[in-house]
Formats: sequence, structure tokens, C-alpha cells
Amino acid sequence: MVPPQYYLVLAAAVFCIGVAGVLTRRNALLFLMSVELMLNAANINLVAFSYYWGNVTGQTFSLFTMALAAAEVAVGIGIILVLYRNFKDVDVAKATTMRW
Amino acid sequence: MVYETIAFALFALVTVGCSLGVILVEDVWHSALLLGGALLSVAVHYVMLQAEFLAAMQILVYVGGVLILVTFAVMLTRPDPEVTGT
Repeated sequence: MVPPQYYLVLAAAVFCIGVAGVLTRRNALLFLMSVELMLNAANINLVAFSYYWGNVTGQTFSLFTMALAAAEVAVGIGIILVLYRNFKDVDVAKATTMRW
Repeated sequence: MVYETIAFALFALVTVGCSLGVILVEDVWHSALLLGGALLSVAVHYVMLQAEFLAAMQILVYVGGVLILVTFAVMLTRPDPEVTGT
């Protein structure tokens, strides 16, 4: 049995990589993928604690998170396609029409 | 015991390496493929944590659904190559 601390370290690493992706890249699709990485890190944490405590509560929450991630990607891709139609680019720094 | 730790280290390396590739690679298409690799190795971690149903859901929902949607978006938002008349 691998100690659950190892999984927590792994999840922290993946979450930090996701945050770095959101903060450094300007492509809107990369934003979406980085958010997916962060949600996966949260899922790893939930499943690791579920294994540690020996019940399936964490796994159930993890299923909810997966459904949320799928819905979020569908909505986000709709927004990105509209962004591309209006600005001919997916660079988030180009969309400045709502800047006051 | 030691084999489990070795397997964990191997797949943790795959997960972190693919995740780093997602945010460091220039081409968006390549980062979508690397995201698929990261999601599959997370599914392997779920199997090692005795969550087999969740691993199956991970592969079906993420690799089957989310990655296809991201691929659609990548292909639909390609910058136009200079239109050469035919």
C-alpha cells in the first residue's frame, strides 16, 4: 500500500502545474486544459482519502466533479468559439471590448 | 510493497511530465495530446487506489468526451493558413 501522502504530493504538483498554465499562457484553450488539470488534482486527492478511510464518499464526490468538468468544457468551448468568430483569434489579451 | 512504490513513482513521473508538457509545449494540438496522456495515467492511479469504476469513468468521460471536445475546438480555431486559390 502506497502511503496516501505520496498521492497528496502528486496532486499538489499537478495542481501547481495547472495554476502555472493559467497564469502564464494566453491561449484560451490552454486555460481550459489547465482547469482540467486542476480538477484532476482535486480528484486524486478525493480518491486517495477515500482509500485511506476505507469508504466510498470521496469516490462519489469525484464522480460529481467529473460531471461538472464535462459540462464546464462544453460551455467553455462554446464561449471560445464565439471569441474566435468575433476576434479571429483565441488570445485572451485580444478580447478587450469589455474593458472600461 | 516495493513494487507498488516503484509503479507509483513511474506513473507519477508520467503524470507530472505530461502535465508539464501541456503548459510548456507551443502547439495547442500537441498539448491536447499530452493532456490525454496525463488523464490516462491518472486513471492508472485510480486503479492502484482500488477505484476501478472511477478509472473506467475517467477514461470514458475525460478521454472519450472532454478530449474530443477540446480537439474540435483546436481544429475549429486554427488560424487560417494563407488562402491559396485553387
